[in-house]
Amino acid sequence: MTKPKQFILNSDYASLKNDNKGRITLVIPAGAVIPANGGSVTWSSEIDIGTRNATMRTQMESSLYPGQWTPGNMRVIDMNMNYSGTPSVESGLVSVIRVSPTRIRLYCTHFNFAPFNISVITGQTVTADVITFLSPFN
Amino acid sequence: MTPDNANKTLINSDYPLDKVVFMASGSFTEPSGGFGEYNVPHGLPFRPLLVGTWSTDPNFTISYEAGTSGFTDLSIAQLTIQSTTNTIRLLPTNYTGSTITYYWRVFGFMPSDVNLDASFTAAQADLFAMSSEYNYTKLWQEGVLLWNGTTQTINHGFGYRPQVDIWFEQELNSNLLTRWYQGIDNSFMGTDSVQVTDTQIIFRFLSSGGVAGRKWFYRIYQDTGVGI
Repeated sequence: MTKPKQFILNSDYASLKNDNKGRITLVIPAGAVIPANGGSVTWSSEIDIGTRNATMRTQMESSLYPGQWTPGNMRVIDMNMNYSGTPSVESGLVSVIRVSPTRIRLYCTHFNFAPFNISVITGQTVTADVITFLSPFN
Repeated sequence: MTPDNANKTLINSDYPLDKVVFMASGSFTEPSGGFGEYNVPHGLPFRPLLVGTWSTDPNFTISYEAGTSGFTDLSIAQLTIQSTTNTIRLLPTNYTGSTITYYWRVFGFMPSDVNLDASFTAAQADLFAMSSEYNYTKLWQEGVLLWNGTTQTINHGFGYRPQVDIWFEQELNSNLLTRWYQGIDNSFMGTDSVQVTDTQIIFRFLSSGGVAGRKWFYRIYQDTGVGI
């Protein structure tokens, strides 16, 4: 054993190997309709990046708040919705997940439990910058 | 060397590399219908800053970051991973209607306020310690901030958004340390948030349930967080 902080690098400790980086964008279009009574819509986008069990560092931005990048695999976004003629700001959850050993997905699912259809007033683009690392377990 | 140049090298001896001081893995079976809790002793004299993944496949063919899953509705299934003084705390959610075997893997870093001996995690002589095929992220600054209900800023001045990793103590139990995973739009004030800019890392400690003195550990790297 030794104090790892005494070394810049030390081959006795696993290090994180940064293997790739990529940008993925998701468009939530203005006018999109979410059906009434428990209906839902999922918007998603995918890119090829990383390898099996790759870990990630992610930052996200919404075009509604340009320049406000937040770290993390998820982001709670504002969604400007039309509730039967009444505008309302709801929260939506955007997430980055791995869907195959080499592919990730950025997606947002929004539900509508109202007895009438609701629609997106202001569209937005969510951007995720993803940095992947080989798993130390590989 | 300027930060900009350090960002363009695979390794830079002016800045330490990430050294993984802890690795562990395991599995458990969770029936459908709610939440579970499993605690696995980690045997360390400190709480590690954990990065965790999980899979339903022992080979981790498809794996998920802690706090996420393959379901579009994360309330159906996911796995939260935390560290405590003595244990790795695993919190599965399972509303799939079927029993799930969760295979989990975690690795961890030493917090900024700890400087102790650590057991080796890569002593196999037949493995490459370094490879020029990959970049090794260069730690520019690590530290800890104390939640105080205000906005705190770290100036880096790089001129680009750097990579950042954050762990925070839970409001309800300061012993629970979780990797930060969720950003939030600006309109949701009353919630803690972190923002990364070309010149600063901004911590908005604004949670209505915030507890003064809770620790937020951060690691800021020379390497760009820009994906293209």
